[in-house]
Amino acid sequence: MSTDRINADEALRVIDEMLVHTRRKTAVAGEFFIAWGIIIFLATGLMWLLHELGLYRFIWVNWLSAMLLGSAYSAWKGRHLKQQTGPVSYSDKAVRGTWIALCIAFFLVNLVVPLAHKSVQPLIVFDAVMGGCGLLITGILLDVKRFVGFALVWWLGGVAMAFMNFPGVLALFMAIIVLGALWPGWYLIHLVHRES
Amino acid sequence: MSIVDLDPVIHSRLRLAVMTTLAGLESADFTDLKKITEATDGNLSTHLSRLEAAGYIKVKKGYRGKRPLTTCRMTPAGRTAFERYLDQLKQNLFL
Repeated sequence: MSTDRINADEALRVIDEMLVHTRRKTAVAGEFFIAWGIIIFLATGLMWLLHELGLYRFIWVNWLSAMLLGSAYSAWKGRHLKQQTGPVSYSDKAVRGTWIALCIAFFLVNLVVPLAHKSVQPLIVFDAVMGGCGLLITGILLDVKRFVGFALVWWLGGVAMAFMNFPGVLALFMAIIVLGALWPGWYLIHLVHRES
Repeated sequence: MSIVDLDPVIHSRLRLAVMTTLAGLESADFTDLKKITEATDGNLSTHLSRLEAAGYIKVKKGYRGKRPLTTCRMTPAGRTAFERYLDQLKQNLFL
């Protein structure tokens, strides 16, 4: 890059170029969505199975395993993030902080509630509503408008699940994971490939 | 207001690129900045020194493992100067 003095239009162009260079790590965020989407999808399926087998009281083992698996993946991925994608922006940090907070909330509730209550419904509705909040915040921070739609999938799904019975509620939850976690993950990766 | 009113410390292609990059980041190392701005080592060092001398950025030299690591971050004074520069630039563009 040449270092000569510039006029106002050129200065604006330089700022624009740098903003493109320092774009947030959208593709990496997509990979996290897919990994966590698959883990939660499988954990929900296993929860269904445990319920069918009359082992509902052991659901906390299922969610603890999912949490440990997801955390191990996130820690491993986070360690390699710097080398893969360069400096981390404030938006990236905000997205990461939001999802860490939400994941802690998800897993605390998913671990504790089954010990005190038999019904899975409030748990699933809570997960869906919180998922919608996470997607909306992520969409705003990454400036991806389609995430409003993905958030609506979680919120509307949450409302619908409140009126459904087991095991239909779990089937819908798994469908929502595909539409509201795996699809957004794939979309973010696709977005980066298209832009580059 | 004319173009000469723009802060001369920031108003150069490479220094503006560095300031814009650091504005959105908590910190960036020398290699990242070199890659993003497409500058040479010597050029980037010179301009980082100029920004550091003005108090707009803080340059910290250390190690990552056994490798030397130079990390740059924007200071509060640098952020204020950059915001002022953007305001001045906006006024220039709409003159």
